Amino acid sequence: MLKIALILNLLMVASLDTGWSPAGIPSIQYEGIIACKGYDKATIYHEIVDYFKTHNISELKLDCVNQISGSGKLRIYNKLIGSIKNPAGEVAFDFIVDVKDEKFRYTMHNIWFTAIERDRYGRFEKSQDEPVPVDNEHFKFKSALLRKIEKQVQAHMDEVLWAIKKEIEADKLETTDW
Amino acid sequence: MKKSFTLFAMLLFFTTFNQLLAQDEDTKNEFSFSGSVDVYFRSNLNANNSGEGYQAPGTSFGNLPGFSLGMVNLIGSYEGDRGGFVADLVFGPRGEDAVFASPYYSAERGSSQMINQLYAYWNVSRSVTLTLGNFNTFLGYEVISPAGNFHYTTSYMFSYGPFSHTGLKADIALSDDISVMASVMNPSDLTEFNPFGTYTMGLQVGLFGKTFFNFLYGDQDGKIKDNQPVGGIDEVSAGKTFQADLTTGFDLSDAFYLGVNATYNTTGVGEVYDGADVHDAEGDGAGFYGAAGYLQFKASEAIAVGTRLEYFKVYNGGLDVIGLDAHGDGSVVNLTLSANAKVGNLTIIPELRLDATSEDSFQDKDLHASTKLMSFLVAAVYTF
Repeated sequence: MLKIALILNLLMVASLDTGWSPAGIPSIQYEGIIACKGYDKATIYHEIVDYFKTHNISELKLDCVNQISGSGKLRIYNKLIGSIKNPAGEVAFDFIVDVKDEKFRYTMHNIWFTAIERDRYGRFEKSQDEPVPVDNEHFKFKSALLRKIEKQVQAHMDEVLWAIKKEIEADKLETTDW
Repeated sequence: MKKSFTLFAMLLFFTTFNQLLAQDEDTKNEFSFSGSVDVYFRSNLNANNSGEGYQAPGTSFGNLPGFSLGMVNLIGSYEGDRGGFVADLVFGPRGEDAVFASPYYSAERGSSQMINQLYAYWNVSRSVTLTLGNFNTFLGYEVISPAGNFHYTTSYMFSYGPFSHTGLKADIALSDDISVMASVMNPSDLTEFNPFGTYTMGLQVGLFGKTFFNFLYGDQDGKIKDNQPVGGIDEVSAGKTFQADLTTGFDLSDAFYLGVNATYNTTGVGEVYDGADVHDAEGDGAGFYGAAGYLQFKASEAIAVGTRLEYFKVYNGGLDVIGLDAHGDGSVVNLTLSANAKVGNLTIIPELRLDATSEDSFQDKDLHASTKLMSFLVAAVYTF
């Protein structure tokens, strides 16, 4: 019942925009909106800043009270059987978080993929090849890899949204603790 | 050599001990499993494909007739912030050839024959990594795994350089563009332990992550002991081996890539036991040298074609793998044309290969001596 209540409390819209973009700039971006009923903009903003500061996000920019931006990295995996896996590559991305009363929006954009390969000693190393923009044009012959990247980036975004929401709710509990 | 090895080990220990104490527990723990499977069909075009007249190039791997097995390669690795390990196992004909000097420890049981690499490493800092164990060689352009090569068959330079080493190496990134690797190792390919008591030094200087100058120096078969020569009168021990090697590559355009490899290998004449004393043998060093270019054209993400053109010269009888003249000299030109067709994780490699030697090295279909061997091969390599 609690689970159903949480789901009802959560309004999450994840979208995938694959529209046209200028050459060399990845066109795919991910967007998720999550509801935090009962929390004002300032509270949500500070919780989000705290979250990213503890998650090693580089170049965190706090331009104004409505927006947080930064960049991050995420490893993409080939999943073999069960939890057995190996890294396929790494995506580097920029993100923007827009904050309003009772909700925030997390957008991942400018997503670039660098392959990870075994070197001659069997260790996984980043490929010497240039990073590739994550979009349909650059992955038209690697659609399976693109699907894998999309799925795992989406999962990462959902995880971040849920984790931030959880921290906001956890803090509320503390305020009622006498 | 023993003294310098001990000093090297002590220096490494004391310079890195403070780092050991200062670092926290691992925060990244990641186990990965991957590998490959390869099989092929091979046929000579101008020589017999069975019986005593069966012919194959004098290079390693991919030499069996008809439908043949390559190897199963299973690699498990653990990666933490501070270190990890790699366990790389091989099974099948290609794997057996890759670890040809094993099992040295136990011929009856022989499980060492499946170990291609087995090492642990410690990330001392962001720029220094120490590795202890058995690792594939840093020399040469090609590698043992067919998943790491464009061509399925291999070059002469790769085949007669070392395949693997066991020892201690330090990888140091001096900057984003310059790296150095220094190592102390057993004699080449003696991977289980060191039966001879001599050590080999390795050095690699890397520029821009694409150009590598590689050096190897050391005695590969030990010394004759004055008081207990094993082979009796005329026992001979080769001198020290020195090999210098260059590997590099250039993106000529978005579609064209050129790889280059050049190597020079020499081994001193060493020493001989005359029944009373051990003394230096007389004569010149022997070995080989060569150069190869690898030109590749990427037609699409799924299709690429490439050629390998290699010149390989043996001097003073340094190797007995091609026909040699009365002075022990001989050479071979190897031209290999290959395509790589990728279907998901599967790569199909059709390959046409010509080996042309300066002296007779092969037999034609009538069993007459010949200087040329033309062969066709198609391989399937699946990686996961």
